[in-house]
Amino acid sequence: MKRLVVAAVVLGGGAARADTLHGTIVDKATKQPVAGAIITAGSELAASGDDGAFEITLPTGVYRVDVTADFLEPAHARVVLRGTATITIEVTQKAVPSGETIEVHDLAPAASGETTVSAQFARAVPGGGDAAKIVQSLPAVARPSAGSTDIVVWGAAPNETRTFVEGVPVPALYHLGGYRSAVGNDVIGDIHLTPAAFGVDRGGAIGGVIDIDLADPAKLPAWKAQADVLDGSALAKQQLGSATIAAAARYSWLDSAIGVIEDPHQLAPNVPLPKWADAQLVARVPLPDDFVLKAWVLGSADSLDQVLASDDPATQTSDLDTQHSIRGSMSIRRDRPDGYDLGMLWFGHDYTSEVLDVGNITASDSERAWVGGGRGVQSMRLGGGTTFTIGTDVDASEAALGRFGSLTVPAREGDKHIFGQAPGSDVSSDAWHSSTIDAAGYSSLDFGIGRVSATAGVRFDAWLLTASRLTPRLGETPAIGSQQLLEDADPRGSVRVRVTDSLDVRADAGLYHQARDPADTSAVFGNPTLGIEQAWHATTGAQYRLSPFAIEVAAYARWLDDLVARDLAVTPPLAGALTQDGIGHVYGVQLTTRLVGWHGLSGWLSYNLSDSRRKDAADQAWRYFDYDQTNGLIFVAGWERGPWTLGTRVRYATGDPRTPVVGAFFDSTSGRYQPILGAQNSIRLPAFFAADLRGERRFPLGGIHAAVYIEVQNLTDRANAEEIIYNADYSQKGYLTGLPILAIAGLRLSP
Amino acid sequence: MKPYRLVALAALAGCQSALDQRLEVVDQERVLAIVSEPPEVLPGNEVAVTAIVGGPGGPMTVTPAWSLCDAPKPPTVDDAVADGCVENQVTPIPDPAMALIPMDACQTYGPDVESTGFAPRNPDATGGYYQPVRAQLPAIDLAFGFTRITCNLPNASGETAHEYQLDYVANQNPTLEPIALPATVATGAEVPITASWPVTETYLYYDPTSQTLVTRRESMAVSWFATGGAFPADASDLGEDDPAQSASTTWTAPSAPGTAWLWIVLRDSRGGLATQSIAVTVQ
Repeated sequence: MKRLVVAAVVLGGGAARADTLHGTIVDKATKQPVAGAIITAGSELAASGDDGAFEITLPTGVYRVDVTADFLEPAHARVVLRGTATITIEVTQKAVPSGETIEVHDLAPAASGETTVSAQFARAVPGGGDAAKIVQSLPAVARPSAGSTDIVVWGAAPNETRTFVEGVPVPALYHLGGYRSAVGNDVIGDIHLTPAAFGVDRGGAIGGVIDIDLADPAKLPAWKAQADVLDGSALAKQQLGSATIAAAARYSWLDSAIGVIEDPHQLAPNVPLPKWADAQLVARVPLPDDFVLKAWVLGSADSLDQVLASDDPATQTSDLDTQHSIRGSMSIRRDRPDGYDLGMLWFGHDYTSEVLDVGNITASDSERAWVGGGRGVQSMRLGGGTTFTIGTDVDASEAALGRFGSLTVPAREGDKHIFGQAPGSDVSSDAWHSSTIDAAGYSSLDFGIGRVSATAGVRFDAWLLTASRLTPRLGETPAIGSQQLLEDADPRGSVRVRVTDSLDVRADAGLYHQARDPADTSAVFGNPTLGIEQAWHATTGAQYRLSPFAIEVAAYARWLDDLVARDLAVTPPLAGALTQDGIGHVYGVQLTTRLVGWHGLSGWLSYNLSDSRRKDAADQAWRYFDYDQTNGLIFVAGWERGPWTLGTRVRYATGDPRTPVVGAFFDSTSGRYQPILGAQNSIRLPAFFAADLRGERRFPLGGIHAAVYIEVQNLTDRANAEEIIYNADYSQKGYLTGLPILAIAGLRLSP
Repeated sequence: MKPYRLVALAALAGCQSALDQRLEVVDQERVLAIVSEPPEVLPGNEVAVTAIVGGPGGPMTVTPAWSLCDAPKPPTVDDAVADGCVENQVTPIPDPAMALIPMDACQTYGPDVESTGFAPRNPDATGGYYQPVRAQLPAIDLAFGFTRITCNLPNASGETAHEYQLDYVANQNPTLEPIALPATVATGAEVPITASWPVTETYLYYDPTSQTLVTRRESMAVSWFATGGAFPADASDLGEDDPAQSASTTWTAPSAPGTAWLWIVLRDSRGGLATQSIAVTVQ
């Protein structure tokens, strides 16, 4: 709901006397709300939200209201605006396009740093044609390392940003290896990133929030099949009475494809060749009295077996990762002229495991978790441009975990570690259970006075955190568990001021909390009494619209507290290997220029200046956050004309911090040298630059439509450094470089 | 590396720059091994420590400045020793033939803690704890040897700990049988080398997962060094399940005539070492 209001305010213009037009766009045939339509009235623009609603503030007068979108036949209505007016406009959908088309309705800035893109646009720009891969190219997102699935948003650690699909949290946005998204591709709708200061309707994150909408099955083609060197996918849709059901699946064959050429290990010994598969089922059923039932299931499965070859068995490394996840949800929503109601239940199961062997050192961990929850929202327009929203959500998980090996595996943010260095030789073992229940209630009020509008809200979270053992296991000694009941009240709000018809300024702030990771609650490797991490967010920015451009400058700050960090003591307390003494801060400025639907061309140019630092305890020196990138510049554009779609992406980023090696010593037990490290994160990898291009050509093929596409990554064939590597005695330094120039070609068929 | 740029790969592809990850060619003076005799003792006992030092000219008879490391390593550090040991948080060893392992070694480096409120230090994969011994030589990187210390068993029931104390047998250094090599080889010749040892010890191990005592067999590793020429790999590993009592490799003699020195270092998984050096005339 917040998104709708924000979009309306940002895109609208100002006037001496501000009256408000509330409207809803509905499909003429189905009477269902239509999202993503562009509404023009006078000099003002707005976009319809998920519930089809829009809001425009205009001077008193008579207006023609035009509704346009690539997927709609143009429609219009006349309205007399004096005070507050309400209008419903019926529109007719165009036939489903046979190829990918770029929708441009959602590129305009919505709030400081926020970005929404449609799946169609996301697929048009380089990223393998996978919609959710666009997240790694959004403004506010740090350039990820090659093969990384991490998403670093405005200096927040990957585990501090949460991804939701239709409001349901999912454990991983990407498949292992980072080639594809784990939430599928064909059924994805809009993708929305709020890098900081998000609303009260989202919790459990102290970084940013990524919201992924699933497409309306009715808008999907009857079938679709696609294949390239990475994988193949298929989509089918079926109408059953009033219900529309779409199913999609994807299966990777990258490892097999390379195997056809040569033994993958001979071809590129250190290249990870993951296997992945995902499947989605989405159903939408219109019900009487304007209710809509939506049900979906997402599943994904991954495995990644990496072998880092070495002439010395002591440094031979193998790493086997596995992750499975399933999510299912059922929701009922009713859109009213004055708001909407939503009820949703969801469930899921997650499994992750890793087995790492470095020479004779073995480490492993696994986690099986049952998860589930629910959400209820009621939003009401109270008149006078005021909207009241009240909601509740519950997230719960019950995890069974196991871990064996060194305390330093898996590595944590803040570890002083050199790439390729064997982990510690210490060995321990634990098996435990941990549960997390977050029951939250929230409310928010959107209101406006003249040129000023505001949102004020508060979110109350009650957390029940348990761990099965307070102390390490000792024989058959009965376990004494840990149980904590914690509460938080998080105030969040924003103020927007329309300075001129083209210029808005706004400020957002809020308090955020997230629960500790269940994997950190081991009495041996972690701390069963860990609680909740906290962050304050503050952003301020200005948005200037000069059609078809929108220019946005945003300043942001994040103050992090109670972060889970390692206890650096020589002898930590029993069951106290982790503490909550970590603190951090992020300061930055982002300048973004967006082009919205100009002769089929859309995109953005964004520069981000960031400073993110942390320390694991108050008496430690500040260090750069492991993923800190001082400068980030990204240009993304997609262009569609006739049967052609072209996309490009150009990225520049400061290299990530690394800890220098200042010497080495010989370890007679292992027979290897070990590094002597300098000041933590005091050097950086060289800067990254890459330009990518994607093109697609659609054409009829027999009675169906076909599209061929090719994507070329790293056009300049630049050898970007991804890691620092050393020779055996650390006397020489080099770089592990990323991908050379690469081409991916594929074929897509649809009716 | 063959061209793989025509296919779609992501992640850490690229190519590793040609940095030598191997140590088998001794082209500068360095420590090849540090032997503690015996390799495992109770705290308060003496050991004799010896550094095997090699250079381009062969074995070197040098006496390092020996010291005992005094700085315990935080469990969050991957390195084998704490920064303090690399710096100067050490106690000099006056006579390396009689290095006294401190009485509090099991507290400094082992599982003993001041009170029950602290976490016992975790052992290595064989259940062992080690006292670092530092060898410092001019113009050579610092080297650390590790003397295994027999400590109590933490995180185990009293009965299991007692049984362990009674039955555990301290490690002994392995023995390398004399390695037979021809005194003279042709330049570039491929010379098979086999290192063998008569005994692979078994030892009592406390499995932290099952929390039971089990008997395991040491794994063995052989490192191959030479002043010239090449080995296919600079070490050979034999896992616990491997019953072999020997490891073989092939040494490719240097292309230039002269005297080449070879070293073989045998390590068991509990910190025991044996070494042997051989001179071969290449012509």
